[in-house]
Amino acid sequence: MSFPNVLEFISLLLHNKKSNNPLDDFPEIEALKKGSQSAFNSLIQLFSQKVYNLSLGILQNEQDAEDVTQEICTTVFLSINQFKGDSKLSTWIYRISVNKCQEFLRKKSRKKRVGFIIPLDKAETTIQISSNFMHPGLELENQERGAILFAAINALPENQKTAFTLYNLESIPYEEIAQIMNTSLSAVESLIFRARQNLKKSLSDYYEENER
Amino acid sequence: METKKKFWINETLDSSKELKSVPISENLRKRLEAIPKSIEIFDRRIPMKAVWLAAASIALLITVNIATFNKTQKFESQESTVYNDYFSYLNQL
Repeated sequence: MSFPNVLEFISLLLHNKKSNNPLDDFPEIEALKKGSQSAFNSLIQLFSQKVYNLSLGILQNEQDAEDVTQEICTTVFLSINQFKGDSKLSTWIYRISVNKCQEFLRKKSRKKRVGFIIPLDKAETTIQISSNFMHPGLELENQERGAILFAAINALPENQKTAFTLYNLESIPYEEIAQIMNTSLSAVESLIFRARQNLKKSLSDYYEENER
Repeated sequence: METKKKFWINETLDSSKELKSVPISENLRKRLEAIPKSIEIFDRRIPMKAVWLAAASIALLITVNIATFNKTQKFESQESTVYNDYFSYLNQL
């Protein structure tokens, strides 16, 4: 690991954000377990936007994100009785969200799988940037740059993409990401670090190909 | 060139910090709020008793079919034995 990489790794650890989630104290959980419509509406008000934004970040498609958000909320409603309170409610909901998004992407890629040839010398080192997703949460002047970043994120391995999205786009702290992804804190730190390295590499390749 | 590239990469990576939370559409909100009702309607429309009754009927239908098939097979094999005996008797005459 080179010196700038070590510095970046340390800064990532130091800037680990603290959770400030309104769901930590969701008071209507018992009513929700009894199937109360008003408790469910309160829950929707509190977390639907977060779930939708997480889905949008991972799926990079507004229609898919809406459909998956509905699926996540249905799962939450149907299996709320299985929530034992071992983790925060938000962590449990995020875990369902991540699983549903990954499941959706796997189904989609199985359908779309076609012959895709990468030269052997580039197969390991370069990541193909090919997407034109314009995130609606970006200002117009940042849309083009955002599209390039999202395309690069999309080319990351599944776990790196999830960890990076949870940390950088949703501002979820490392500890909670570890619980959401059912892994250790050090594994999350490593995933995010490797994701940033890979993103830098693919952006560098993109720059050399397009900006010269 | 290298500095320009590094600057561009860092700016592109940092563009995620400019990301604002996107509010959900009114249509999606309505879809989400309708979830408990839609599940209730589904529960009411198909009572568990009816589901078990349908499953039992299907099982019964399959059992009757298998039993009939086995009976027919046995009958056919018996019939062919009778015919064979008759023809062998005719051949002997």
